[in-house]
Amino acid sequence: MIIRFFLNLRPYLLPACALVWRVTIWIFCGIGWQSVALAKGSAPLYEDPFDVASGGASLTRASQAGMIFSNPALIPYGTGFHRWLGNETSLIVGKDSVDFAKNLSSGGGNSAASGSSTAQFVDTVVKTPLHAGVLNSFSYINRLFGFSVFNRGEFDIAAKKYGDTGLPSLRFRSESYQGVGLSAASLMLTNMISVGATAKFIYAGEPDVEIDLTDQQAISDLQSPAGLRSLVSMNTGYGYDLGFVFFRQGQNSDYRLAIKVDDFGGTRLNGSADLKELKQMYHVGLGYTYHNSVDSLHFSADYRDVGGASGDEVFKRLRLGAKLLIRHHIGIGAGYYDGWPSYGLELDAWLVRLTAAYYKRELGVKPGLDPRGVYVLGFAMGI
Amino acid sequence: MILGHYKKYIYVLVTVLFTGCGTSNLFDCDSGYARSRCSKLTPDEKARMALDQGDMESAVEILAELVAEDPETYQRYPLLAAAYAGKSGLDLFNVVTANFGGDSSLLQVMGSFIPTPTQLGAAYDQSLEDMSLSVQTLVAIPAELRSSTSSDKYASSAVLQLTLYQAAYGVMYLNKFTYGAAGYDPSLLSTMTAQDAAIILAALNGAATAADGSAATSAQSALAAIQAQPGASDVEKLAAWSQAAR
Repeated sequence: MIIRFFLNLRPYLLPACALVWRVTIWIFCGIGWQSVALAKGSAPLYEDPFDVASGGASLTRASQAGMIFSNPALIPYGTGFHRWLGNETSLIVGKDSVDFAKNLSSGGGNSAASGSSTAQFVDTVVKTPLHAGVLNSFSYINRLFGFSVFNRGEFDIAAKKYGDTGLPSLRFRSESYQGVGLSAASLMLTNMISVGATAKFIYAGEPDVEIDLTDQQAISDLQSPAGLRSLVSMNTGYGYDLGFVFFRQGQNSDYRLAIKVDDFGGTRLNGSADLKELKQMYHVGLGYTYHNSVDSLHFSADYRDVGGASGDEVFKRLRLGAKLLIRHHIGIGAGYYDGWPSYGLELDAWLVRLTAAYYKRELGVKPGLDPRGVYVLGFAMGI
Repeated sequence: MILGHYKKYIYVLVTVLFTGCGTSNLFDCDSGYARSRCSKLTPDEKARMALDQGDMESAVEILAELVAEDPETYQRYPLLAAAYAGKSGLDLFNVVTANFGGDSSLLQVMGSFIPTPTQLGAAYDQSLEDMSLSVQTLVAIPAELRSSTSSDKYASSAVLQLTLYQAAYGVMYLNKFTYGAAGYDPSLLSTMTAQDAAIILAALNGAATAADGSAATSAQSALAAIQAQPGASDVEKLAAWSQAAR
């Protein structure tokens, strides 16, 4: 399919191809490979739930609310000048953590836990790790530029009967990112190429704490919202992302090739938290869309972090997905996220957009070591 | 109609969707898609996974091999010791947070976390052997590297585990002479030899001196109580204590 695409190119488009190739070579060779150790995984800072349901392969096609952080070069593609102004809120709940999340969200928890409730808590997390979080964004996008104010917080508490030292332990992990992204993009060469960039201010932290089971006070702290917050220290920094999309549109078939540079030159973070830098990473995506005027079926494959700067294994870097969009209002998404199957539905009822997704995150370094089944329910309101 | 128009693509979508349905990961070496580049677990990761799954036989096998290959990587010793203890039937998860103080004796508290000869029958000797191996594994760490104040987490873990496993071994060994096939049977104490008594006292003494903490204090109290028992020999004192403490 890709070979046929290039064979069918008009001769006057060859300079465009040469430009794309030069840019690609420049990105991959001129800037240099990152070989420093992992500071952050290869996933984007913010992902729309429907994009995650579709395997997280969002470099070539992303939901409006997630576009700024998926690939800013996608901004010009679409109909009309104004694209989206609205707010999106999503709740992330581990498959086995529904009750605990309800307790925390209602301000419950047990800040002065007795011995028995601590034991009960530990017993609970041994059987079912707690995983919960929230995604929130307010964004505006038109065909030239857009901005997004976002918040992503996710935590995981799991107990091991045999921790790293052989003794039972509790592990608290969290990913917390907040910030603002401002993107602009422009079409070039008869709309075949889109180049976009995002400038972002980030407030980020990725605490990872292992607590010995003999430390009852620390375990007690984990059961209250205040205790959880105290474990999350944050750093701040400015960074830039660059995105390119090479787009060929046919009557019923569209082809897309996307390249994205996350954290161009590396994003330095200042503060007391351990996360000091977001490494520069390169991502490549391919997309194919079969469509008519109202429906479309999009297949996409992303290979994230081509240079391996994140240290993630291939199963976390390869994302595969499909989106079926019916009458612009109903979406069905499916794919492979972290190598696990993912599914989701989206209902776009003009002012209101509802999303439900299920996917599995692999928190371990290899498939099957520490997977978490996750439900996401999203509610967006906007025009 | 969209379904008719997109029929072949929907077929592809459904195929993509359900290829990996269920519990397997595309990149799992054992159950994933055969042509994908799978991510193999390292022996250390396999051992950790076996421990998480409660497969102590495999964990012991892998870790023992790793320790034999690289005996100076002491971080693995506490893990191997924990695997032996788990294999012996010790409820490590609950014993580390147990309260060894209070009015209960070491025999009573530890007794609730270890198996008895009544429960295991002929397999009890193997269980005892595994507990002995867990103690030996920890003792193999040079003494200067075992410290409850060390910044190396494995070092302080080794000290705490050594206390617990020595206490557990002492109590398990004593239980050989107090439990029969039908349950508690103090008449078996008459079969205890001086050598058996020496093994039990050595284990309790090791627990009492390995570290601070409630388990060590409880072992010290137990030793003091044994010495205070009537009797001319250690065998008689132990027999008297085991009945009084229960």
